[in-house]
Amino acid sequence: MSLANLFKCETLLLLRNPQSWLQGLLFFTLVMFILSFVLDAKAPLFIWLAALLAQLLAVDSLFKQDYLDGSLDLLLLGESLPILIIGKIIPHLLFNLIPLLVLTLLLSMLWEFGLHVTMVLLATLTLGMPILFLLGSLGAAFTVCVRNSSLLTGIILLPFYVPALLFAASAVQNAALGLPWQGSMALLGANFILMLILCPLASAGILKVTAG
Amino acid sequence: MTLVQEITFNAAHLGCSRDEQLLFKPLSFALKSGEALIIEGPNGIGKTTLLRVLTGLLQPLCGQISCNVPIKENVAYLGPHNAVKGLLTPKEYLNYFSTFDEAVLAQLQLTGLENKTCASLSSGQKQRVALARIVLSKKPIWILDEPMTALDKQGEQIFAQLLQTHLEQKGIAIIATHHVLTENHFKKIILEP
Repeated sequence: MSLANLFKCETLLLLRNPQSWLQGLLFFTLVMFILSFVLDAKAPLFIWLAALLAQLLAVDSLFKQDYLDGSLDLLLLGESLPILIIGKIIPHLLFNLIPLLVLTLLLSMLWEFGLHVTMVLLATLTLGMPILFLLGSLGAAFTVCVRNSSLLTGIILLPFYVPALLFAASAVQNAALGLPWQGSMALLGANFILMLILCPLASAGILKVTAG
Repeated sequence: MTLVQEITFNAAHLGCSRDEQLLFKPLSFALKSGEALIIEGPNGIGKTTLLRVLTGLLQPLCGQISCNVPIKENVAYLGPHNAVKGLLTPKEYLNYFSTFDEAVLAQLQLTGLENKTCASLSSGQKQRVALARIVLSKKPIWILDEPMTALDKQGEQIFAQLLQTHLEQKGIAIIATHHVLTENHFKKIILEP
């Protein structure tokens, strides 16, 4: 299967199986609702934390169905597995990121973060979520043969998420305090490039062992 | 499809393992274009594992596989799960793997079902969709794990015809099956513990 066909196929599967990406967004919405109306905790960092946890729900199923129906073997026999893994990640990322950005924008308006902080927050999510999905592919590859693996995937992934979370949190916090935030954003960007290079290769290697 | 290159596929003293246990006595075989190998053996002996080793999905415990073309690029693999996506229609599914061909669908008697989701098809019809993927891939090496599972008598005959055509076009087939293939000129290996 070519990269373009894999992208189209995954997009169609996500459209026809919306619960695979909606559950993460519903979780995000629920956490935000509790923080906002029950705990009265309104800070940009809470949005990042909820997005991170919601992403864990979404990423666990990245290869699971392919493993169960046997199509993962066809992926493993594909010409360039790391590239095909990127082709699988991108539709999942878009289906999660776009609604998340819309919800964040609405929350930012509701919580009155101000335009500057909102823009920095959206920028960190746009740059940070791909990092989480790329890292998430590692966890999904590790646990592809494990039933009910959401918790295990989370335990494996959370330590790897720390640098991205720190850079994003630092950028958002600096923006909120009126301090320079560009340095943290640059580090987040560097982290993204590093993960874009390393994660598909590592995920391909892990999948060959776990699913092979 | 006309395959121009003569293909040779050899295995020498090939052994496979599960949990570091040798599954069956090491085997050797040599296949060339136009030949098929049928692999038989009791449940759990390692037929699926052997096929996965032959495709390159697993490493053998011992022995060597040699082929004069890169196996990964030239193999059409049908595993124990047929890899059919329930949420897609046969037309969409086959389009993602290769160029959709109405004639192959007609040959597999799937005409009229191409726009229904695969989840709504019977097990036999899903298996036919999986076989259509193998045919449409136009790969010279077929490695098939129980390809006639869930097929009715007519389906088995259709598969036998497709296999015959593939071999006439200088393809190679390695098939693990419990079903009887009527052609008696195929090479056969019975795995023994």
